[in-house]
Amino acid sequence: MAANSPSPLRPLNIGNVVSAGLSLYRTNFSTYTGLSAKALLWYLIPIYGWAKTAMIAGQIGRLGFQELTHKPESVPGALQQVNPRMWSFLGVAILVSIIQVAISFAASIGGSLILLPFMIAGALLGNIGVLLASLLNYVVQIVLLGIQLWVQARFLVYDLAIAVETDKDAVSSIGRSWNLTQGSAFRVQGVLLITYLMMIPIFILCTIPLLFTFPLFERLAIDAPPTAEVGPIVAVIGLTILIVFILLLVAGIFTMPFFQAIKAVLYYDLRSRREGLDIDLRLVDRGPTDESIQ
Amino acid sequence: MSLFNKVTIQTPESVELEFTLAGIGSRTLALFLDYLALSLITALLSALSVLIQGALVGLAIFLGGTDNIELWLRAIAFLVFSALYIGYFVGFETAWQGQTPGKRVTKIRVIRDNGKPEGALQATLRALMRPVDYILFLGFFCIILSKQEKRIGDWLAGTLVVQNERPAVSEALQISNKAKSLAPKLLQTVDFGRLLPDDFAVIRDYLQRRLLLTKQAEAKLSAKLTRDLQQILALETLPSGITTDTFIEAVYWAYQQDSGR
Repeated sequence: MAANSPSPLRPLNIGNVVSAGLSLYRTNFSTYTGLSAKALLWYLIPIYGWAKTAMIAGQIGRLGFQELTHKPESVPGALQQVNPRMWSFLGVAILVSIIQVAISFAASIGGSLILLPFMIAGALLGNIGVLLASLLNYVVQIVLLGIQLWVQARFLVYDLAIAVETDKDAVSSIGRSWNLTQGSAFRVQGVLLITYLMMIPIFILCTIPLLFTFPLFERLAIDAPPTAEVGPIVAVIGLTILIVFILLLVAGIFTMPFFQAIKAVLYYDLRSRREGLDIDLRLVDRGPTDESIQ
Repeated sequence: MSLFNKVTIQTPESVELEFTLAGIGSRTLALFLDYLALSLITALLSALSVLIQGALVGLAIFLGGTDNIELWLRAIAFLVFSALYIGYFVGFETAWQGQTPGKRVTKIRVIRDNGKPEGALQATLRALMRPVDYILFLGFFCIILSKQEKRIGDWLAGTLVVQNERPAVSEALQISNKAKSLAPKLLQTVDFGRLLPDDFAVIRDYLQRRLLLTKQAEAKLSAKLTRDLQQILALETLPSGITTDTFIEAVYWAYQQDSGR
């Protein structure tokens, strides 16, 4: 049968989702990076540009997903699909952030309400009470952080749903992300953890020039140099900060497609797990030679 | 496009072994988990060493006092902690044939370039080069930029980090009695030679994973697979009075009986 067509990707473990995402980015490096640079430039223009940026991010995700399903699209082809939904990308992004803020707000109010009686009791009980109350406080803080991460994981792939499922209502993509990540929140968080860990080196390297400004700061603050010297020192510090800022922007050009490629793999993986996207007898590939197989 | 790098190793017996490389994702996660374990051990050990140090200093003062006891103890502690960091990786990778606890969780393994298991020498070289690989994240960039995903320690020790090929576990599938009783009838009427091993794998995949699918997706997929199977097996009509899932189960069961003959 379909010996020539590649077999579909099986469900992946956490590490392999990230590796596959990087691999996807590497094979399409110039395409994705070019799109990302364009997205960054659009970002400088408020509102309209932001929608454009969100759309291009979705476009990169769509290109990645289409490649994973072995139906690759051209850049203009993908643009044609996502372009009519430009404002949806921004609108749903705003909606998702409102939901996230609301949930974490509600969670922290709930946490405080739980904590309050213990705080009062703690104050009444003296030292041991205070210790217990502060311990409980830590626990509540950790739980709150957990809730936030969990919510982030559940809403992570909504933009992929907007970009890929163009036949569906854009707002329903929030529900789609929620359903697809059901039972996988922990895995999604694992993927996020590795992704962030892998981005750290790039951002740390970008901030290295700042290290050289520390002696200058020290000179300014402690030695109180003569006024003639202050100007050049401030200028050098300002220039360094500008350089670091530009380096961080450049890093952003490279990390955005990396993140989107990983999300594309994740979205594909979730859909195989929840919808059996990869389970297919592939009758199409056999074509008319069906009879000769025997 | 292949998402995962592979290496083929020619053994002296000219057997070709193919390995899938571990990938940066699993390696990052493994490293993170190992450092999590190491920092827990370090924390416990530090607490313990404070106690021991207090006792020893007290003892030294009682015995007449040595001026430099605290410096000595600090030097010893430094040695112990360095030994712990090197020993953790060397010990586990040697004893577990190229795996640390983190690598075990992420299902990856260190092997030699010739496919043999990693030995103590390779494990030591890899562990000693770790600090070098951390300078400016050299190791990280070496892994993502080189075709064989080697960090400097790997180049020096002549090792590869590969995915631990899991043995094919064929979990016992739940096949309903109704499907089992339908299978013999299918075997009589249908030529199962038309069903290829790959097709069988797809069916098995579906039966294994159907419980995790959403209800909607399961119904849709089940119907589609049934239609496709009907076409592959050239079945004019489906047996009446059964669900699509039962039909797929019956095909699975019948194929197994057929290939067992």
